[in-house]
Amino acid sequence: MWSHASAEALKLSLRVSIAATLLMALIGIPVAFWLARRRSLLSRIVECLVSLPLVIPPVVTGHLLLVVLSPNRFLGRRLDRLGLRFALDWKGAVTAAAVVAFPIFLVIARTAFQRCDSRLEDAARVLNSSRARVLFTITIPIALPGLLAAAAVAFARAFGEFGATMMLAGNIPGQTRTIPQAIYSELLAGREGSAWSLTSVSIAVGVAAMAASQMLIRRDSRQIGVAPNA
Amino acid sequence: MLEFDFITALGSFQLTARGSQAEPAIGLFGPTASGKTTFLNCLAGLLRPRCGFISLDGEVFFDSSKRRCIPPDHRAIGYVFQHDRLFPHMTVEHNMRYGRRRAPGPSIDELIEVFDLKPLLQRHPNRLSGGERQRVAVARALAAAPRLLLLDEPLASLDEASRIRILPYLAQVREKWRIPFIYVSHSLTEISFLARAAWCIADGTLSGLFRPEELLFASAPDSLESFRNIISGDIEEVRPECGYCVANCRGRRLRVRLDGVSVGDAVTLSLPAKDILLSLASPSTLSARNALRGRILRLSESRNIVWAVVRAAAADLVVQLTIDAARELRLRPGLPVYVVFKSHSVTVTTTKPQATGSQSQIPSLLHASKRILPELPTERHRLQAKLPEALSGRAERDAI
Repeated sequence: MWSHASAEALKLSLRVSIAATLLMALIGIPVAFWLARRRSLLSRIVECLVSLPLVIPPVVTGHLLLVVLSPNRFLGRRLDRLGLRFALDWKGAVTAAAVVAFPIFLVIARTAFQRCDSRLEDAARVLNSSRARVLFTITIPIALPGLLAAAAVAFARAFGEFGATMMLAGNIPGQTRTIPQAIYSELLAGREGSAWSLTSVSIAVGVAAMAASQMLIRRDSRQIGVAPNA
Repeated sequence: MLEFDFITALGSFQLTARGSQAEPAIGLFGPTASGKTTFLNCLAGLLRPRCGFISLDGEVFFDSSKRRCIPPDHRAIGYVFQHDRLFPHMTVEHNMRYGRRRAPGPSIDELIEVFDLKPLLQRHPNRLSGGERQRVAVARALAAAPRLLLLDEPLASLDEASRIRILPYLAQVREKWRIPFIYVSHSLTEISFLARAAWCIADGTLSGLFRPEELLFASAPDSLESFRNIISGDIEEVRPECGYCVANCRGRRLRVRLDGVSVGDAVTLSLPAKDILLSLASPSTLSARNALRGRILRLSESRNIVWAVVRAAAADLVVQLTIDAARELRLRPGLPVYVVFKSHSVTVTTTKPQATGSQSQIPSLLHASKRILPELPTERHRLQAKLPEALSGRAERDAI
């Protein structure tokens, strides 16, 4: 039951999820590093705010995003003038997916940085290394498996995003109809077979993401392994 | 030369440190949580003192009056931590090359040779034993060509046998590369093997310099109980039929436990201070297999124990005695005595087995580092002039 529309939904979903994952990595890696190293009132507030989408319904998140980014509103109007349109656009789907999946990315990435002992960074500093060199040769390489695991799980979550995407980007075939939207539309139209094939794709992506993250984290533990509290 | 005068605070704890490194190898002794690591962190630049100054060879690292604080990567100070802190994602070789800088210092090949790292180079740290990891950590710090090496209880996390095996490697830092170091430990056994002088931290103040054995009187009872004399040597003869083997320590032949060694092995001997007897006459009717002629250098009493430092064959041995015994024998500095101990009191640890085929350089390097309880140079010269007969080794019973 694989139709042209299904292929189009898959292609769009991949494009949206990849873009959302890159966006999350870009913002999430520095924020996760900061949260892992500095505990202050500000960091707690930031963590609380960005984690909200985890506990509120995605529809609510979508609604809030629509309020902020709608072309009739303050921020949306200015962005619209710059040629950045979010409402009823694939960029809106990317934004909705990124915001909803961001807390998941952040929690795993922060843990990855916390597992990289800051005492190893001290040891590297004493070995004639600048802060930047320590970041790129010690901190990030040690945190890398964890960061990749964060990206894999966040990608899967972005791939499955429905509620917030529906609110902000809508359900336009070829433009914002990602796989979850397509499943919804196919079922409404009574094409159960087509819905099933899309459902299997969704499940496969989820299983692959979880397997990848498990593998990365297991390999990471083996490497850090016996190292006491080095 | 390292000079410092600073005050640092961590929470409610405050440390006052003032001194200069007059000796190339200095121990830093103090009980747990007395601020030893805090002191080293200030020197290395990982911690900023509240006020004062720190300088090395005239270069000011920290001066609160001029708001000057050089970051750790511009201090060229090597640091070996209590836990090795090897980078888990790099091989041993990459770990060693990490801090390399353009400066005269030990070459990587030299370090691999001296620390026996060749078979470990391509392994990751989690595939190494505790002793191997610490050897790599010391080699890594040295590969960065430091001007001063800080060693923060590098052996504390190891078992007794690994500790004794690593000590001679550390002695080489001093003997072979002449890199000044500060060795932090709460083990006077280790400090007295490696350093000629020591600072002491207690009650938030660093003071010194002391001879390591002087600190025996200041230390906690548990570290007194376990003081051991550490001696390097080579196995010269193995005589299973007699139940002992002969270790040659600077020309002095000691009969020690068999302990599975073979001829030619470089070994480290460990002899507890409480297992040594002193005798005024040649002990011909005792079962103990070792009796060395020597002369008492110093005597002191603390916590109901008398400590005697006896020079026997160019080496100083610390002996633990009861007050009564010291009184009855009328022990006093300068008195000639026999130092008596059983073969079985000496624990033998193989530092480096005799290499099969091509003889490696290590045993000969260890030869160079052979010494027991090093003392201040001026004193050494004076005593060497005084005691020619003790140095010749004539009086030794095993020599027959």
